Amino acid sequence: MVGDVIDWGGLAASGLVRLEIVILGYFLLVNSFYAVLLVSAVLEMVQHLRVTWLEGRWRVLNSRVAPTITVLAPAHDEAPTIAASVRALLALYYPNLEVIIVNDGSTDPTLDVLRREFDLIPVHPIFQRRLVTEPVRGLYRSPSHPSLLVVDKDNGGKADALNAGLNVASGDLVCAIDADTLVEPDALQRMVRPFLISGEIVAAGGTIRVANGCVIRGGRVVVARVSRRPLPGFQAVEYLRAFLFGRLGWNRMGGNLIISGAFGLFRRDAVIASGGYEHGTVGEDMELVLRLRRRGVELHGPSQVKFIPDPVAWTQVPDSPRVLARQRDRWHRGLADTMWRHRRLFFNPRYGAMGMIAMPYFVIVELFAPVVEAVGLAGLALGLLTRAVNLPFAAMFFLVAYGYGLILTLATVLLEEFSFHRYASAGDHAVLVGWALLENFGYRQATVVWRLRGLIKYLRGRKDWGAMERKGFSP
Amino acid sequence: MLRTVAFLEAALLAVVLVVIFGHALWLQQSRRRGAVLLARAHAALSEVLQRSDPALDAAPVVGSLSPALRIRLFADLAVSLSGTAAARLTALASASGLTAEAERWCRSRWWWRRLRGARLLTVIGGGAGVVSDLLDDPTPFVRAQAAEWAAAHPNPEVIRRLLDALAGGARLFRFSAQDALGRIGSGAIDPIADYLATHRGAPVEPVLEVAVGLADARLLPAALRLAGDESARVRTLAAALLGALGGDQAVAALGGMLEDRSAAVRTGSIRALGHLGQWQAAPRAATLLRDRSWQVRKEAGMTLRRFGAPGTLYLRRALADADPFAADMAAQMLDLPAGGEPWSVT
Repeated sequence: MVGDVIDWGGLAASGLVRLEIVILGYFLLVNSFYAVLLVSAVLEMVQHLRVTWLEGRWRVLNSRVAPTITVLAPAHDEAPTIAASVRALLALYYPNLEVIIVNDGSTDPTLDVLRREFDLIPVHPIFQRRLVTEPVRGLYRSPSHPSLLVVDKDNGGKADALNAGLNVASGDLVCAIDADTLVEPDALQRMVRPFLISGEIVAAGGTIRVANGCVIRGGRVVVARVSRRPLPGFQAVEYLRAFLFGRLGWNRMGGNLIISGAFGLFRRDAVIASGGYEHGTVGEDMELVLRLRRRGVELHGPSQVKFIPDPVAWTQVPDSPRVLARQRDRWHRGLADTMWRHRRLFFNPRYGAMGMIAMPYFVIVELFAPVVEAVGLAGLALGLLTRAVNLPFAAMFFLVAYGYGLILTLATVLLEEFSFHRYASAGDHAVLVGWALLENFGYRQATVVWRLRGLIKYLRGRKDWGAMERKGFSP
Repeated sequence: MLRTVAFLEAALLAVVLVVIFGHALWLQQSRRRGAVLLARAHAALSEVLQRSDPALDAAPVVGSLSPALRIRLFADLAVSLSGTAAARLTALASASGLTAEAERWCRSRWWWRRLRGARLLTVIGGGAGVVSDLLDDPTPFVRAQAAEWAAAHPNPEVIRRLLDALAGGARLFRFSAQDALGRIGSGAIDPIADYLATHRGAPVEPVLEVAVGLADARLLPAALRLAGDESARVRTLAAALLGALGGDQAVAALGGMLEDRSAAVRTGSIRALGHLGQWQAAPRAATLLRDRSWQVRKEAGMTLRRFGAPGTLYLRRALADADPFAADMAAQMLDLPAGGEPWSVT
């Protein structure tokens, strides 16, 4: 027995190496799946450009048979931005447009600003409370802007505000947007396209781009620029990657599970029939999309969700690490909560590609990626320190995890360059490429920490939003 | 292995970067150059369009442009021209070879080429011989574009085909065909009236939707006939059409529809009577305040408000109604805030 002493150190080192190999394989698989998504996105983009070539969108603008749209914008303590945002919404190029602003119990003068800027007068609300919400204090209309309706209600959170808006909305379609989002004037004409094409569509989403650094006049982005500040710059790259190849690619691979809460178009009847926005989650936009799709499959109704790349809304992203950390933490809690609520869809063939591809992807890749990445990086550092892992392995790890990812990110920039080319100057391209290169050194690791924190908070049962700070757009 | 992967990634990275910056610089240059050429051509073509025989001077102006710029030039000008100027632009496009090119695309085996052809001909005009054939194209996008083209080139045959295709067409084509019929306007009334006189059920729904927007008296017989259709959706649309047309016959038919078995039809009928200002219908509207459907009760209340004094009288009486739902709706209608106007979701 004396000769059979167990070499615990050797066993641990061997275990660590095996773990690192598994994680390396994980990154290889994930990045290869991203490459498939990118190919899918390129095919979608080609189709999109063919269909929209020389398209006469003015036809929708003055058509008697175009579907009516209600824009729902919840506002909570948005006094600095609300007037400009509402003016931009009222100036959207769409016929039969109704704009509903829901003042969700603001503690700042949001309602006063609206009253003053739009000469609001009270109207008598006669509507059916099909969705239960916090009490509505009053409804206001503007004589100078007949399409504007303001709902003043007790605070109940974003989901509650959207439900209150849904109760009084009259459009065939409802467009949920954040009040601090700048929607491009012709975005709705573009966004309505899938609903005209197919009766199977239950929701459609557009692209969100980063407004930080852009030249904004009169509530419109007049010159698209890439922010020179690191945090908004990194997020510009992230948004481009998430929308242009992530969501566009999903159109062909089982459909999207996410429509951004900042800019999405839904069938009103379907949203109301499915119970509206869920109060008890911080990921209400994703939860709604999943519920709509699930219900559509179960009841053989419309269940498809389409992402359209050309309708654009611009949003101010957080430029402080503290606020960004809170946002990412919340997003990840929302993702975890939605996946848990709809866990029955996971690898369930009844739900087709949504159950067999999209759900497993969101759980294995999106939800657990920070865990795997954190373990992988910590294990690599430990392995290098204890010499269980050699430098060539570490280099390979970085090439697969980060190098491969960087090429995919730059391929997205290329896709943007060949399709929409929103950043006109070569200087902006250089900055964008620079942020794409630099995000791998610090920023990406920080998002891993924030998302991990979100996951831990979710497991502990935290459901709060965390405070967001609105800066407002320069005039 | 490591070296191979590193080399491969570095090479890919370099290629992507070169393409990104190369394309960005090329596009920047070509846009700058194109803008100058386009502005020059735009000014010259605008001048040519004002002359009596524009085709003679068109070639040197248009010929100096690349095909893409030529299309852009004509498309830019076409949206702001109508009447004689638009006809001249069509002639210029034909003389420059653009129309022939578009017609060639319309005959392509690739759907996206056919779509391009139909779209270009919709913008610049022309293509009478080829685009109407695309109304039967297997691709919905192409059919829809052909329908859009048809709005500016109406003839009895095209209108008949649009109407026939409405019933079973793909959603996009249905929207385009409905839109085209609405734009054709009075020229489409007789064919629509004939269609509605000979069809019933689901196939007439999209046609009735167009008819409501057109609201022409020639559609009255068809509306009266369809008010008794088996489909509730058709009866609801017929009520809307009757409300848009008005007249004794329409009012009488709407009165009868207030007792329809479908709540949607009762709602549509009382709304139509409200729009027509038929205050004589106030007693019937007051009865509907007791309806089982909230939508009907709400619409009856709104209609009574719209009737003015006679309606308000019935609403006040309804406050003491034995039916608590009728009393509640009347109270909601009368209980206005100071300076407030009634408003409801439709």
